[in-house]
This record gives sequence, structure tokens and C-alpha cells, in this order.
Amino acid sequence: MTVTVDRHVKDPCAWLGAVTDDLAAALPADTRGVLLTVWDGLVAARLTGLHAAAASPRWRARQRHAEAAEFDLAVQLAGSCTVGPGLAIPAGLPGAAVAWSVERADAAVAAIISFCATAETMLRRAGELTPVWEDSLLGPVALTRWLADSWTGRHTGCPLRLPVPPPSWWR
Amino acid sequence: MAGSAVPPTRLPQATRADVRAVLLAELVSVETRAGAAGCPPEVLFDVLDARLRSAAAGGPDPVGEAG
Repeated sequence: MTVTVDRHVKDPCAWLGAVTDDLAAALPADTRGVLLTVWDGLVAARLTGLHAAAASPRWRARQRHAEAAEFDLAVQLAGSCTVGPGLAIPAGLPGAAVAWSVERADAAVAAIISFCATAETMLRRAGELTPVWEDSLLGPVALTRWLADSWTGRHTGCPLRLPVPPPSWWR
Repeated sequence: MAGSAVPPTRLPQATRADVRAVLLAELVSVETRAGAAGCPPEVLFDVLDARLRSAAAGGPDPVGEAG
């Protein structure tokens, strides 16, 4: 069961900032807590990035690469966590979304990159505490780096090709 | 064996305190995030509820979804 919240969120960037703060304060030994907080941040980052992409051609081009990393990260988080993610990842902007200024979009992308840096650090710490190498979260660690690099323009992967049907949490 | 004053199914005091601390932290976190996002806290409580139900059911549901 997943809940869609994007229609209710008035300030995705502030939401992302609050989740990033929570993530920075999370206990690395609480793997499930770290994974679910990264998931929440990914949802906020996705929504923030969609708004930024709608505001500027520069961010639209980078969002096309970023969303492939977003999807792959979501798949790995969903597979690593023992609890359903609960929160749906928005497939697109809500119909009534208000257009952002370029300045707001620039600040939003900076917030996404900051979230990615925090997520990479916390996932790495959480993974280092697991006794089994397969649980060391190296996939999510790499994907958070690629997500940040997609927004800075350093990483250009293949555009996202969604599976048919898409996962229940992508809608 | 003499019966204990504390039923055996009850969690030890220290564990109960830890569980309370985790739940309180999650509730505060939901309030904080909802305030930042500008959305009603009930919306994010629904997410927390979905996770608790998933944990109680023993794992993620790969096909179920709700609006």
C-alpha cells in the first residue's frame, strides 16, 4: 500500500530540507530507519526536480538523466527494506502545479544535491555496520552519487524506460 | 515456579522506553516535515500507518496500493 502526497505538498523544497535534516541525525545502526528516510527524501527530491525541470530548459535536460537514477535507486531501496515504502514516488507533476521561477528552481536543485550527499554518507555508514557484504548498500550509495552527478551535469545515463506495468509505488 | 508480578509477554521497562522514544521521534518527525511541506500532518500520518501495517504484516506488499 502506498500513499500519494504530492498534491498536498505546498513546498517540496522545504520538505526535502526537513527530510535531509532528519537523515543527517539518523542512527546508522537503524538500517530500516535510514532506508525509509532516504525513500522519503527521494520522493521529495523527485517532486522538487520535476518542478525545477518545468521551470528551466537547463534543468529539464538534466532531470531526464536524473530520473533514471531516481528509479533505479527506488528499486534498490524497495528491495533492501523489509517494510513497504508507504509513500508513492510521483510519476509526474500534479495537474495544478504552479510554475516556479528560475531562481527557485536553482535553489531546489542545490537542495537535491545536498540531500544526495547526506544520503550517500548515511547509506555508506549504515552499510558498513552490516555483517554481510551483500547488505552493504553499495548500490544505493552509488546511485545517490549518480543522482547528484546527474543534476550537476557530470553524469549522463540512458533516459528512463519504465517497465510495463510500472511498480505500484511509481504513480 | 512462583508467578511473577510482571506478565511474561510485557516488554522490559528499558525496551518499552526505547520503543516509546522511537515512536515519539517518528511522530515529531512527521509533524516537522508536514509543517515544512505545508501539508496537513494527517497526510504523512497515513504514510506512517501504511509502514506500520506493512511491518505488522511481515514485509512489503509488492502489488497493493491505495490513493
